[in-house]
Order: sequence, then structure tokens, then C-alpha cells
Amino acid sequence: MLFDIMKRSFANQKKAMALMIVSIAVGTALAASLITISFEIEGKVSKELRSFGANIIVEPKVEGLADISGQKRYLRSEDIVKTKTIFWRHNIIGVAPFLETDARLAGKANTVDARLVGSWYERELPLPGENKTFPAGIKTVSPWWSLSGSWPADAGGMVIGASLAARLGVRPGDMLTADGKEVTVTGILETGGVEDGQAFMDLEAVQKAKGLEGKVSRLYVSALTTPMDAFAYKDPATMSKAEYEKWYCTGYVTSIAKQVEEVFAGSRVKPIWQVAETEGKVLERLRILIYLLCAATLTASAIGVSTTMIMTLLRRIEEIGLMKALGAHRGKVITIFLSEGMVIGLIGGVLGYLLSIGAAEFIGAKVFHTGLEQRAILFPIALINALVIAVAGTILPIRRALSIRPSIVLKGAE
Amino acid sequence: MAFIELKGIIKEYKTTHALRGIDVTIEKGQWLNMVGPSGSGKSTLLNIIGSLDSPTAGEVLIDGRDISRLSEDDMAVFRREKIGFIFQQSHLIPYLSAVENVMLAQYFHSMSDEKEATDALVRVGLEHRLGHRPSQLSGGEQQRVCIARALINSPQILLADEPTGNLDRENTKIILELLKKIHAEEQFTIVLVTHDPFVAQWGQRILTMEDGKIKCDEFLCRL
Amino acid sequence: MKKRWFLFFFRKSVAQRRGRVAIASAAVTLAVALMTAMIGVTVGIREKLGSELKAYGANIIVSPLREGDFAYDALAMIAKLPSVEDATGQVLGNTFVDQQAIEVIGIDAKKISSMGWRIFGKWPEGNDEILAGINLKAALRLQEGQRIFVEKDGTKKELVISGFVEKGGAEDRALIMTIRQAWTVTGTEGRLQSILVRGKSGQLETIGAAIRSALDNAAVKTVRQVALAEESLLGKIQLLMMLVTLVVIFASAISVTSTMGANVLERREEIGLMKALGATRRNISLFYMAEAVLIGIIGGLAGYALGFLSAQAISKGAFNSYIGIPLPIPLAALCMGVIVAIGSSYFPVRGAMKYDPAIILRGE
Repeated sequence: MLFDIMKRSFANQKKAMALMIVSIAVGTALAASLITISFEIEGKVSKELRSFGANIIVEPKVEGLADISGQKRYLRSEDIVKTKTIFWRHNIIGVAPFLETDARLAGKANTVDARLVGSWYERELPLPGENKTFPAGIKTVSPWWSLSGSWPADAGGMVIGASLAARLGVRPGDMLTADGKEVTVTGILETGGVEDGQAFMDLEAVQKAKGLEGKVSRLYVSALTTPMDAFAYKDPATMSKAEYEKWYCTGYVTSIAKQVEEVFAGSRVKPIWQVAETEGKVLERLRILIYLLCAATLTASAIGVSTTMIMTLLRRIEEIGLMKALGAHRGKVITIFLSEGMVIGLIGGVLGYLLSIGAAEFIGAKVFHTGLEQRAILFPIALINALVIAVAGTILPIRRALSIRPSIVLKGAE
Repeated sequence: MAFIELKGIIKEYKTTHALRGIDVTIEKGQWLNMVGPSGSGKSTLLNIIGSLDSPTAGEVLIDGRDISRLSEDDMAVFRREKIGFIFQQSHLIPYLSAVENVMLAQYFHSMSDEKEATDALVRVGLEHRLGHRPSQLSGGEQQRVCIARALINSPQILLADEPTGNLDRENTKIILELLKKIHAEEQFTIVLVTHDPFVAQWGQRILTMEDGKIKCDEFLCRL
Repeated sequence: MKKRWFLFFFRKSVAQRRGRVAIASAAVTLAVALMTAMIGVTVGIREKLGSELKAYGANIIVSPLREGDFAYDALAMIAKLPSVEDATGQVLGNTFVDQQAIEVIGIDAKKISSMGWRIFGKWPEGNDEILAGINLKAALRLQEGQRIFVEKDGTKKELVISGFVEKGGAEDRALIMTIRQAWTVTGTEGRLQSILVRGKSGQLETIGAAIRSALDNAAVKTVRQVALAEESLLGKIQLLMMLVTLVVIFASAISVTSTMGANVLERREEIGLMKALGATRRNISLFYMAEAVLIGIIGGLAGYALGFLSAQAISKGAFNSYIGIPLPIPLAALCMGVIVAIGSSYFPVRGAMKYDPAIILRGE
């Protein structure tokens, strides 16, 4: 008799159950997607911030006044690949070497003594000690360079900066002479910076032409870094051994710079502070923002789920009264409702998690054009969370309800 | 033409037949009791007469009008003007007092009128219980409120589904006496469902139902 | 008159169901608060992050088209153009130390040209204090507080190095000083060799055109490095915020719907009774919609206040400043709450109207 009533009450409760499941699913989905996004966003934005340009510069060590103007010192281009051997090698996402020389360029309209710079545009460099390559070149460090035409494929071609091209009166496809030799203008470069007044060729071509084989004036490095904090600003020379290790093993822009300096013979490596510090600040702000948003939303969604649970369960207090009146054992009542709560939590939690994957994927695709990594650990966490909420939401009203006398409930009941 | 005419009423659910073809006519002012075991379809038939339910097939003619074909809104209008319901569980609104419960019925019909509602409750002997909530009333008193509520809009048909089912013999008698008295005064048609043979003896006609069909239809030699 | 009774029964119903109305209002409050907060932050984030990105420096550079330079008052003129957030001038020249030519850069300290600089030592304070690029430190064996002599065209001047600049650019091998100091040292009185402009992201084309038409001999270039990256980043972050807001709104709507649904669900018996009393669907739904409106008003106002405060708290926490969203009239908040409440009641009430009274009234 009791179970007949139970069965009928479950059937009646279909709608109520559905409501509770939906509520938990939505709450779980929201929480899980937000957490996924917040885990991923720092990495994604870090990468995005790299399009502001190099944050580390490698220069030859300066030793005398003559180094400033006049006599030139160089770095070794063979050291470039060594940047991918340091402790933080996986954070190095781009390197671009520059070899600065002068050349006399004669175009249609004018002859100009201009800077001729050797560099790489797009290059795959061999990873030392492994069978793989890594991308390097201007494209990996300065993505804002606008090249109409193409980078020269050999020593017979040259890229001219926009304002220099205007002065020389040349366009892509035209010929000009550089130090007497004929070259084709393969592309026009526009950056909005000093490069617009310079000419570019492949590093090796310039090295050969100017007799500077194996030499590089400076190297720009783009690295993913950990934002600087008070600790990071300490002078490493004043750090204790333990502090130094901590600093060295954290990806601050300063420690990465130090590590690059260690592998580059005769170099002085500095962070480009304007880029590095702003980057750090932006990341820091975003991190706080996301945390706060998460906290607010999670709180709200938890409360939101609770309201639905409370609403649905208040009416079941009468049901409990009836069961007690029919002689149901207290323990049995608890068991029934508890198992109900667990089923709701399970279904709601799984549903919610699946929804969150969908939402996170969608957002990741739309904003960052890549998927967001789903942390597998989130699944059990979401499930447990849903179960806890469901069970708590079921038990609390029960305990109250079990203490109400059935007579009150049944008489003149709504 | 009879006041209430049921022709070939069939009510089917997904798995069962509640009514398998009912033909019956009820005269105006008649007090008809329907008896039968549980599941015989008597409550279903009652609801169909009261337009709370529609038959799967057949006609329900009340005063010449087939109410089973009405739209839901028209049924509601019909119901509020012609029908008064009394249920086994009184279904009184728990947060309204006795008089307010009666006024609610007035509200949907036309307009609430406290004087009229009060008079109705006095008529059923509850002049000292006007402001009480249902939880403060005994079972018998609650059903008396229901009677007042059901009759406040002067319906032509009073439908009662086991009105005394939850009451003891003492209260049952009180309720039935009340109904008898008011029925004599107002001459509305009563269709009453019960499984209590004592109750079935009140009224003028007993319809015995079994398995969705009318098994027996007897008139009691009574005024 | 009927209205009076409607309100009578409605009041009684709400009074009885105070607790449930309160809970439903809480749900609507939360939903509205979340929506308000998210919208507030989304609207404000472009501006907030944008001002953070100021530190990347100018996104427009104005330099002489041909030989020559600019008059100092060109600066004021540019600063007044619409969408220009900041403009500062630079003096570029050289001077001689120990007969070595050293670059000189004259700037307006603490403006966009010097944001994000790392200084070892102190910013110059006195009239003869300047900064030196970090490469000069080693080259000239300089120290903080050291005096040096610069000479140009017969003019000698004694300067004190108050600190060193490490920027990773041309500044690292130059002497950095104020514009006035630079004028004295390089002999280019009253002229600027370049103007750095910080314009609102997305308005750079317009600003560029305005400068070109207003200033003679001006070559205006967008510093692509800054401008593109900025636009890309801001665009992405704003899009992210908008999508998250959408998700939150969607989730809130569902959550409120289920709460309102629960609200309606437990009144089945009442609905059944009212149908038995001859109430039409309209009669019945009027009661529930009225309750929804009440819940919506309470929830809307409370939710808006809560959401507004939350948005400000979040903004202060993350960006250390408040969002300048105009506080809309309470009517808007009310509307939002009522729309949420009614919208989320619509389906549950519609479903409730379909309840079969026969089943309800028999039930138990």
C-alpha cells in the first residue's frame, strides 16, 4: 500500500523532478563552464598579448663608449637556436635576428644611403638535440608587419620600407641597385615604425654581401612570461640561494632574460620593459576580474539552484506527513528521499557537465578560434558538487518535515 | 425532453475503459444517487455531467445543449452558472475564511457579496464560524461550507462526489438532512456519488454502476 | 468593483504564500543582479582595459614628411582633436660628451612617451638632472648621481645623472631629459621632431586624417604594433565577456523559470478548484501573472541594486576604478525584473492551465 502511494507520488512528481534536474543541470553547467574558461583565459590572453611584440632583447655586451657609435660588436648567429635549450625553452615562442648594415640604394627617383637589415621572416629552425623544428622569424615576433608582396627568396630580392620606397620611387617588381648590384623589389613593408625607412633581406644574404658571416646585431625574443610581482623585482644579486632558485624557476621575464644571456656568448639580455610590464598588468587585471566574476556567478547560481529545490520540496512536506501517517518508518522515508536526491544530482550533474563542455567549446571557438582545454578533473568535481547540492536540498526539508505531526498536515490540507 | 440527457457516453483512457456506453436521463429537480464499487466509473460520469471532463464519445445534453462539444472557456461559463460541486476532500482554500471561500465562488460567477455569502453560511448553520479558517473547522463544518459555496450562485445542478466519505455517521446525517432541506426549498437537480448504502437511501433514485456500465436503475418510492 | 475583489483575493493569496513569494523574488533578484553585473562589466571593460593598454604607448606617430620639424604649439592643437586621449612631443637631436656624439631625447616626463619605463635610480627632479640610457651606463662608466659635461656648438652644460632607463629601444643609448633641457642642449629651441599621439582604439584612421589636414608637413603613421594588437585584444576580451554574459543570462532565465515553475506547480489543487468553480483560463492566469508581476517588481529593483553594486565592486577589485555606467531610472530595472518574472512564468502557467481538474480534484 505504501509503495503504491509512493509510485503514484513519483509519477505525479515527474514534473517536479524534471524541474529540479533542470535547475541543477543549469547551475552545474554555468559553474563548470566558467571555471573552464577561467583556467584557460590566462594562457589564451598571454598568447594574445604576444602580438604586442618582443618582450626581450638580446644585444652584444656594451664595453666602451665606442660601442655606442662607430665600432660595432656582434652576436653569433649560431647561438640563436640555443634559446630553445634554456630551462624555460617552452615559453620561447619566437625569435627574430637583425643584422644592421648600410647600403647605397639607387631607385628610379632617388639614390639614398639607407639602413640595410638582414633578418628572417619565416623560418623553421632545428631544435637542438631533437628531430623537430621550431618556427622563428619576424612573423613569430612582430605579427603587425604588413608586407605587400613577398619576402625575398634569395639574394636577388629585397623588401623596402614604405617611406623609403616612396623616396626611391619603387614599387614591387621594380629593379633597383644596392651598392651597385641589381636587385628586385619583392615587397613593400609597412609597420608604422622605423622599419618603414629601411630595406630588408634575408639574414644570410646580408651577412654574405657585407662580409659579416655568422654575425647578428641583435635578437628580439617573444616569450610567455609570468607577471612580475614584488619578489621578482628584487635584484637577483641580493637573493639568497633559495630565493634565487625560486626566481630562476619562475617564468618571470627577468629570469628568462637571464637564461638567454647565459647561452648567448658576449650578450647583454634585457626585458623590453614597456611591453613586459604592461603585459603583466593586463594579465593581472584579467585574472582578478575573472576570479571575481566566477565568485559572483557561482554564488548566484548556487543560491538559484537552492530556491528551486526549496520551492519544489516544500510541498512534499505534506507527502511526508502522509507517509508517516500510513506508518512509514522514519528511516525508510529518509532513504526514499535520499535516493531520489542522489538520482536527481547524478542526472543533473552529468547533464550540466556536458552542457558546460558545449558552452566552453563554443566560447573558445568564437573568441580565440581554438578549443578550450577541458580539464578532465572537472567532471568528478561537477558531479560531486551536483550530488551534494541535490542531497542537501533534499535532506534539509526532510528533517524539518519529519518533525511535523501528520495530523496537522492532513487536516484541511491544500 | 429531460433536463439532463446522456447518450452513449464512452470514456476511454490509454489502458482502460472508464465508461462503456451510458444512456440515462435525469429529470429536473431529481435527486439521483450513483453507487458502485471503486473503479465502476461513477465519479467519471459525475465529472462529465459537470463538464470537468469530456467523454471520448457520446452526447451530454443539459437543457437541450450538448455541453461536451463546448470550448473550454464556454464550459467554464456553463459550469459557473449551472453547476455546484461538492467534493469528498472539501478543497477549501486554506488561507481563506469560511465566508471568503464562499465569496471566491461568487467572484468567478459575478461579483463577491459578503452579505449574501454570510446568509448562505447562516443557512447551513455556521453563523458562528464565519471567520474561521478551514483548519479550524471540523470535517462536518467544512462540508457545510462546501454546501454553502456550491449553492451560492443558485446552480441548477448540484454534483456531489462522496460528500460524506470522510465523515462519521453523526455528521453524515447532518449533511444529508441539510441537503434534503435545501433541495426541497430550491428544487435543483442533485447527482450524488457514494459507496455508502446508508447515504444511497437518501434521494429519489439509485443508479448502480459496475465496470463502466449501468447495472441497475431503481426508483425509490418516495417524495 | 471586480478589481477590488481581485485585489482582495490576490492579497490574501500573497500573504499566505509570503515565504514562497520571497523565495521566488530572491530567484528573480539573483537573475537580474547577475544580468546587470555582467552587462555592466562587459560595457565597462573596453574602457578599463583600454586605459591599461595606454602603457604600451602611442599608437600614432607624427613625424615630418620632408626635412624640418614642428612648432611646439602643434602639440596643443593635436591634443584638442576628437578621440585623442593624449599627445606629447619629442625633441630628437644630439650632443657631445668627451667629443663623442650622443643621442638626446627630450620628452614630457610622465606622459605616454615614458609610461612603462623601468628606471634604475630616480626620476630627475632638479633643473639639471637627467636620465641616461642603460647602455650608456657601461659605456661611459656612469653612476647614479654622477656629473657629466655636454657640449654642442660651443655651449657647455653640466648635468647630473639621476637614474638610468632600460627600455630596449633607442632610449637605451641616449640621454633622456625634459623638452626644455633638450632645447638648451641640442640647440633646437621651440621645435619638436616628433609627436606621439594616443588615440581611442578604432578611431585611429579618423585621427590620422584630422592631423594630416591640420598640420603642414606631417607624416602620420599608425604604430601598427600597438594599434593592431590593442584592437585585437580588446575585441577578443569584449567578445568573451559578451558571450559569457549571454550564457549567464540564458542560465539565469532557465533557473528563474524552474523556480517560477515550481511556484506554479504546487498550486495545482487551487487551480483545479477554481476550474470547478467555473473560472476560465484567463481568470486563473490573471492571478498568477499578477503574482509574477509583484515578484518581478521586487526582484527587479533589488536585483538591479545588487547587480549595480556588484559590478562596481568587481571593477574596483580588478581595475581599481569604478565603471561609469549611467544609472538608468529605476523604471528600467523594474521592467527588467517584470519581464524576467513574467517571461519565466509564461510557460509554467500555460502548462498549469492544461491541468485536468478532474484528476486533481480526485487525487491524493
